[in-house]
Amino acid sequence: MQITEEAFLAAINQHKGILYKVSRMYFDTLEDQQDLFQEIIIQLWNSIGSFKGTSELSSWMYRVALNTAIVFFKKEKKKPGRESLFENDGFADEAYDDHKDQQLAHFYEAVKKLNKIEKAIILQLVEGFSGKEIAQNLGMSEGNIRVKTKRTKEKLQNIIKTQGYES
Amino acid sequence: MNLDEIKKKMEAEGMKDLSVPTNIKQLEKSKLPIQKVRKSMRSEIITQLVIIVLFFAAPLMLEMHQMAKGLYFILQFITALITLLYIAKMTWFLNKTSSISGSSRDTVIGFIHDLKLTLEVYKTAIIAGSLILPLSVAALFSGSGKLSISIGRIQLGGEDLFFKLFSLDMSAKYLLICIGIYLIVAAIIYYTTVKWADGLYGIHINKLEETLQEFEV
Repeated sequence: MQITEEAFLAAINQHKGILYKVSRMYFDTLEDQQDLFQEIIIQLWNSIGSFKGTSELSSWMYRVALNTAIVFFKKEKKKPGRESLFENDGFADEAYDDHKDQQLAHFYEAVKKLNKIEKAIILQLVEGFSGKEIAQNLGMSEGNIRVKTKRTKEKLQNIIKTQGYES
Repeated sequence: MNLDEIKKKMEAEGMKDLSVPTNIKQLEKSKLPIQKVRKSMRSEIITQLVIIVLFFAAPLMLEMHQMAKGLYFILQFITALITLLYIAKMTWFLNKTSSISGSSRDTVIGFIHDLKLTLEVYKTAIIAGSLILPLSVAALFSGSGKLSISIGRIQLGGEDLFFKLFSLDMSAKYLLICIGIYLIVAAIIYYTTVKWADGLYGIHINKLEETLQEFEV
């Protein structure tokens, strides 16, 4: 697909929620999220030529964003002064009054303990993707995805329970 | 766990400090392992070429026998040529990257494949260039007459050493010793390069292979 830089950036702006959710799902520090967010834009720009237009642009962006997150590794050393978003949000220190905020904070905290593929499955479940779509995106059979989804959901539930939170 | 509620909350959450640049030039260079590895490899091979070119100047600082000088330049020229050919080949190869828009599993497999190939090309480039180096160094020092060695009762030094070494004018025993010394030096170069490359770049392959394992049910 031929696209101008302006049109590309406009499309990114329109769907930046996808990039944000993937970055947020995979990393908990702002620095890592920024790095991944930028890396996804680079990979989208580099791969836009391979987008044939046979699927929705947002679905294609989702796939590239997830793939980038899966092959991206955060920096080994952290610069001082960069804090976790949870810490920025006061997850550790401040009491949450709002049930839903607490739910999301616990969800992200639990997701940190999942591996990269489990994170991809959970994010796509949250987005409402079908088992078939998840299987296609990840390159796995539908049967394997069913088993993996069941185990991942159980694992996530258990982590959330051990955190002392039940939704 | 209510996924619909989670989705609503995720969408309601502010984007914090993540913003889309106003033009592509504002983006930094890619930080994916393959790009980082290839960037370092490119600079290392270019550094090797610069060092080889600098080596060409060495005979200017030493008084050498004309034949030793000629041999030294021929060996350096071959080393430079091998390195240049690898740089040309790598420049073409380093610009090729697997697609990231396929399935996640194919992407990870593609990246592992690219990294392994890159690493092998790099090792071959460094080793091929380095294996001639001991011969060049031997020609440089023996031809300058500044090196003298004792093998048993035989004292060798200066041009005599150069001619004996490069015309193979020595007994089978000493020839075997020379071959042995060369092979040891070659093995050290090979081992160091492989260890260095695997230690520095192999870590990325290991991480991606761990990720590939995560696809297993």
